[in-house]
Amino acid sequence: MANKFEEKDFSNEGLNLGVWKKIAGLFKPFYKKLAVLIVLQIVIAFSDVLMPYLNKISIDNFASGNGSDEELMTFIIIYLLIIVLIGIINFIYFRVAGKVEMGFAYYLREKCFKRLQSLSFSYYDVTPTGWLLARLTSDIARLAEVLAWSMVDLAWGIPLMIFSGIIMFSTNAVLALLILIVVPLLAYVSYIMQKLSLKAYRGVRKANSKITNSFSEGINGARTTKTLVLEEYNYADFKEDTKEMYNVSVKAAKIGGTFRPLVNFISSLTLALIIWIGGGLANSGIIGFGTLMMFIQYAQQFYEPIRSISMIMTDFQIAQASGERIIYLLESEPSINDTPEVIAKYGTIFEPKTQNYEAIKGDISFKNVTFEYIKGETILKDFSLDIKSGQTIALVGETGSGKSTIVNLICRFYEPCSGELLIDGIDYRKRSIGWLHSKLGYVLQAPHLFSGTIMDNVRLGRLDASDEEVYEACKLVNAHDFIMKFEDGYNTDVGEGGSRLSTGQKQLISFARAVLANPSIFVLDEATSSIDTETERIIQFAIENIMKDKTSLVVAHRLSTIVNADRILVIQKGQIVEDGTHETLIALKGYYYRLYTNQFNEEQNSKLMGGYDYGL
Amino acid sequence: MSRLSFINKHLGKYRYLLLSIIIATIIYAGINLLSSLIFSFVIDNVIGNSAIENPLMAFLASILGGVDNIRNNLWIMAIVLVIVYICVNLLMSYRQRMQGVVSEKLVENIRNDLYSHLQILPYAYHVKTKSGELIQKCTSDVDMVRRFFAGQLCEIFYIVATAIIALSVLYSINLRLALIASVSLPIIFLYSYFFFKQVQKQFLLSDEAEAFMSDVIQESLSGIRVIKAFNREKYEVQRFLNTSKKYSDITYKMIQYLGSYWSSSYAICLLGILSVVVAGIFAVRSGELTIGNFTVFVSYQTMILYPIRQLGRIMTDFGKVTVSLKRLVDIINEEGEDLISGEKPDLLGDIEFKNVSFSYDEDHVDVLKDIDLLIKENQTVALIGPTGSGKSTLIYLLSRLYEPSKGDIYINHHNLKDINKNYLRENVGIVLQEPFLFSRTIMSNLKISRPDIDENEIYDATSIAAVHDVIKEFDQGYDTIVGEKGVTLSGGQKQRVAIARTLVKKTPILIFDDSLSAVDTQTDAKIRKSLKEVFNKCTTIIITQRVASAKDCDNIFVIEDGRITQSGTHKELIQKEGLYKRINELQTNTESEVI
Repeated sequence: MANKFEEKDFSNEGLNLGVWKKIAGLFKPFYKKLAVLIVLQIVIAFSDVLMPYLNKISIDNFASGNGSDEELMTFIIIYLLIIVLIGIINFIYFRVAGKVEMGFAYYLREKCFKRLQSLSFSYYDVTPTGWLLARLTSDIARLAEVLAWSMVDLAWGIPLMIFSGIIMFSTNAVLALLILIVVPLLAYVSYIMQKLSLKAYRGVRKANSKITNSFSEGINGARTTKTLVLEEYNYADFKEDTKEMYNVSVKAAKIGGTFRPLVNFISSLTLALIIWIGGGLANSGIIGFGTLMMFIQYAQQFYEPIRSISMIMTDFQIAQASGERIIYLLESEPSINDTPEVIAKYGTIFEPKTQNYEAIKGDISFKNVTFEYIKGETILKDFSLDIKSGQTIALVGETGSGKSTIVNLICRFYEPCSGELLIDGIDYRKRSIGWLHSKLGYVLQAPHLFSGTIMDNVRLGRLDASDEEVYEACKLVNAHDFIMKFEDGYNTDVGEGGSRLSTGQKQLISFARAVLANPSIFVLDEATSSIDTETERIIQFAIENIMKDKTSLVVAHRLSTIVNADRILVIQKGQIVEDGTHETLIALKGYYYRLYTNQFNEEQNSKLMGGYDYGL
Repeated sequence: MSRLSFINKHLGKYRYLLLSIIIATIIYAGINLLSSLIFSFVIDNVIGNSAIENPLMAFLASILGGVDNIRNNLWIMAIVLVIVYICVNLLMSYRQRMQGVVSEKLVENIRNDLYSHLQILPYAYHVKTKSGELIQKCTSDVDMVRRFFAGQLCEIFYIVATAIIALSVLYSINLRLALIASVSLPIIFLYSYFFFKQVQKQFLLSDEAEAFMSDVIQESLSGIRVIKAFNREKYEVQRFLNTSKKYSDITYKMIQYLGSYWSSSYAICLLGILSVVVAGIFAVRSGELTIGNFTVFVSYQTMILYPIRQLGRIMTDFGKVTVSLKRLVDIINEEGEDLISGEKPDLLGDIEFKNVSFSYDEDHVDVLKDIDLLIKENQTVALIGPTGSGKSTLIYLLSRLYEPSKGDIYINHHNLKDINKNYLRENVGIVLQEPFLFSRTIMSNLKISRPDIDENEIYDATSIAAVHDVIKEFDQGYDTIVGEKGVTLSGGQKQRVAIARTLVKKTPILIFDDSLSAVDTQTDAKIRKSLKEVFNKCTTIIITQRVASAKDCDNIFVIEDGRITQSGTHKELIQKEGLYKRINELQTNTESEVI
C-alpha cells in the first residue's frame, strides 16, 4: 500500500491568536507559578533600575564629600542588603521557572503520549514515527522553554523601562527625553533585524536537517554505496548540501553582523548627546556629576529590554509553530472510538473495567461489510462470512486481494465502513476495544521486539505472568532451547528492535508472547520468508500448538499452514472465490489448484522450450 | 593527525582571516574601553577643570584645541564619541561577519572530509560502529567545533584583552584601588570554571535521560501495532511516564544547580563592584582620586567582571570542544579503503575460491572455513543453507567488502587482491536482502549507478523485476519520493526496486542475496521467469532458502556452519543424504500432494 504523509504547513508568519488561546488553556495548571514568576521579575527589574541610582548617590552624596560617615555606613549596608536580596530572588526565580518548564513539558508529553496510544492504525499508516517523535521531544521542549523563560522576560523588560523612566524624568526631564528619542528608531531596526534573522534561521535549519539526513543516509546506506560504487556520486551531492549550508549560514551571520552593531550604534548615539547636553548642564551646575553618570548608565540599560523584546518575539514565533504542531497532534481524533455507553460499562483502555469483560467463545461473522482505506478505493464490498469457534482459517490470495484487511477488521484495527462484524453474535462495537484486544493473540509478519530482555518481551503478552508461565509458553513454541543457549538465558538483552536475534528467533519470541496472552482468537499474519527451512519446521510446530482449539486466522504463505487449516478461503478482489478444505479445493481445480501447481507447470514448460531453466 | 593539524588543514587559507579577526577583536577591546575614559575626561578635566593626568587624554585635548575650547564647545566631545562608536561598531561588525565566514568554511571542509572519508571506510567499520553514534558525532560534535570558532575563540581574546588593558589603565590611575578591583577577578573566574566543570556531569545525565526517553517513544511508536493488539496501552503509558519523569527530575535538578550558580555569581560580581565603590568613595573623600577616575573604576570593574565570569564558562566549553575534536579526528584517522589502485582486468570468466577462510577478528571463530569453489563463466549457481551459515559473507568476500583471512579468490584467473576495488564492484552486481533506497525519487534511485542511462533501459529493468506496474500506480509514478518524506515501500517492493537498480548496471557477475525473500511466491515466479534471459548473459549467484529457486541452477552449494558440505545439481543432491535432501522433502512434500 502506498501511503503518503502530507504535513500541514505550520510556517505561519503572523500571530495566530487561536493557537495561543489553546496553549493558554493547556498552560492553566501553571498559572499560579506564572504569577509568582511575574512578581519576581518585577522585583528584579526594580533592583536593576536601582543600581545606577545607588551609584549616583555614591558619587553625589558621598564621593563629593557631603555625606557623613554614618550615612555612608547605612548606604553600604543597604547596598549589601540589596545584593543579598537580588541573589535570593534570582535563586527562587530559577527554581520556579525550572519547575514550570519541566512540569509543563512533562504534562504535555503525558497528554500527547496518551493521545498517541489511543490513535488508530489508520493514523500510523500515514504518519511517520520520526515526525511524531520530534513533536514529543523538541517541540514540547521548545514551547515549555519559551513559556517558562522568554515570556516572563517581558515582565522584566516592561517594568524596567517604566521604573527607569520614572527615575529619569523625576531627575532631569531634558536628559530623559534624549534617551527616549531613539526608542522608536531602535525598536524599528530591531524589529527588521529579528524578521530577517528569523528567516535566515529557518534557512539554516532547513539546510542543517538536510545535512543530517545526508549523513544518516551515507552511514546507513554504506553497504549499498559500496556495492553500487556510489562514493563519488554521493560525495558530489553532499558537497552541494554543505555549500548550501555555508551560503545560508554566512548570510545569517552577515545579517547579525550588520544589524547588531547598527542597533548598538544607534543606542550609543544617545551617549554622545548626553555628554554634549548633559555635560553642559553639569558645567553650569544644574546637575551633579553623579546624575550625569547615572544617565550614562541608564542610556545603556534602557535599551536592553527593547533588544530582548524583539528576541522574545522571535522565540514566540518559533514556539507558536511548535505549539501548532503539538495541538494538531492533540486534536487528532482516533478513527475508532468506543461509544459513551460502551465506556461506561467497560472503561477506557487506560482505566479498563476488566470485571465486566465477557469471555469470548470465538464465533465471528461478517454481515454485509464494506470497507475502504481511502475513499473511493473499495477493498471489501458487501462481504459476508461466518467463522465457527475453534476453527483454523487460512486466507490465501494475491497481495492487495483484501486478506490482510479481513484480519485487520476482525482485530478492530479498522472498523467496517458499513455492515457489521459480530463476535459471538454481538456487534463488536457494542463492547470495548480493550475487551477485544485483551482476548486477542496477534503475531505480525515482521516480529517486533522491544528493547529489554527476552523475559520482558514474552511477558508483554500477559504482564502478571509468573516466570514459570513464561518458560511454559516458550517451551510450547520451541523457543526455550535456543533461549537457554544464550549465556544470560531469559535475561538476554535483545538489543534495539531485537537486533541481536535472528528473524526466526524473533518470530518464536513473538509466538511465545501470543501464547502467554492465552487468547480466545488467534491471528497470524504469516511472514513470506527469510526463515530457513529447519526453523520454519519448528515454527510450524509452534503454530499448530498455539492454534489448537482456538478460533485462528492465518494470512498464509506457507503451504504447510494452508494444507492443515480447517478451512481455506481464497480471496480475490475482496471476494471469497473459493472456500473449503485442501482436498475439496484441489478437486475444484480452480484458483487454489493453479496457485500450487504453478511451479510444476513452469517446470514442464521449460522442458518443452528446451535449454536451461534458471530459477530464482 | 593531531587536533591542531586537523583544524589547520580544514581552515586552509582562512587561517589568515581568522588571525585578522583576532587582531580586530583586540583593537575593538581597546577602543571599547576608550568611551569610559572620555566620560571621565569630560567630568574631571573639562567640567571639573582639574589637571590632565592621562597622557592619552592630554593628547586628545591638545588636538581638539585645549580644554577651554572643548568646554565651550561640548559638541566636539559628542563628535569624538560618535567617531569612537563608529570604530567600535565597525570592528564588531567585521568580527561577527568574518567569524561566520571562517567558522562556516571550516565546518564545511570538516563535513565534506568526514563524509567522503566515511564513504571509503571499510564495510567492517560500519558494521561495528553504531550508526546513531556516528551520525551524532558528524552533527553535534561538528556543531560544537563550529560554535567555538563562531564566537567563543574570539571571545576569549576579547575578554583577556579587555581585562589586561582595563587593569593596566586602572593600575596607572591608582595602585591601591586597582588591587582591590583585581581581587574579585580570579574568584569569579575560578568559581565559574569549577562550577561548570562540576555541572557537566549533570548535563550529561540530563542528555542521557532525554535520549532514553526518546528511545522509549520511538520504540513505542514503531511497535504501536503490537501494543494495540496486546492491549498494552496503559502499560506503555506507565513505562513512558517513568522515563519522562526521570528526565524531568534530572533536568530540574540541573536547572536548580544553574540557578544557584547564576544567582550566587551575580551576587559575587555585585560585591566586587560594591568593594570598588566603597573603596573609591573613601579615596575620593581623601582627595586621592578624582570623581572622573572614580567613574572609570566603577565602569571598568563592571566591564571586566561579567566577561571574566563568562570566561570561566567558555573554558569549560573549551574542554568539551577538545573532546569533540578528538572524536572527529579519530574518525579521520581510521584507515579507509583503497578504492582506486589495482588492475582492471577482464572479469568475464570463472570465479574460483581457493582454500578461503574468514573470521571477523583474529581470535574469533571462523565464519567460513576452507572454502573451495568453482563457478564457471555464465553458470548460474545457488548457495543454500541455514541462516547464519556464512552464505552472505561469502559473497561479501567476492566484492571485497571483507578480505579473506586465509586463501585467495580469483576471477578469470586474476587474484581479487590485485583488482581495483571500484572496478571490481562496478562489475559485480549485488542485490542485498535488505536493500537501502535513498530518499529521493524512484527514478533517481534507479539511475543512481548510471546517471546518463536511457529511461527505456530502466523500464526494461523494472519490468523484469515486476515492479514497473507498481510504480506506475503511484500518483507521481517514477517521480515518487521514497522514504519517510514520501511513499513508504513495502519490503518486497524495495527488494524489487533494488533488483532493477542492479540490473541496469548490466554487470558480468550478478548476485542475489536472498533478495526475493519478502516477495510473495507468485510474484517471485513471475520475476524468475523474466530473469532467465538476463541470466544467460552473465555469471549468476543466487543465495536462497527456497529449493524452488535453487533446483534449476547449474550447480548448488550447500553451506552449513561456514563449510561447503554438499555440491552438485538438484538431481544429484536429492539422491544423497544431507541437508539439501531434507530441505527438499520439507518444501516439496506438500506440493507433491497437490499434484
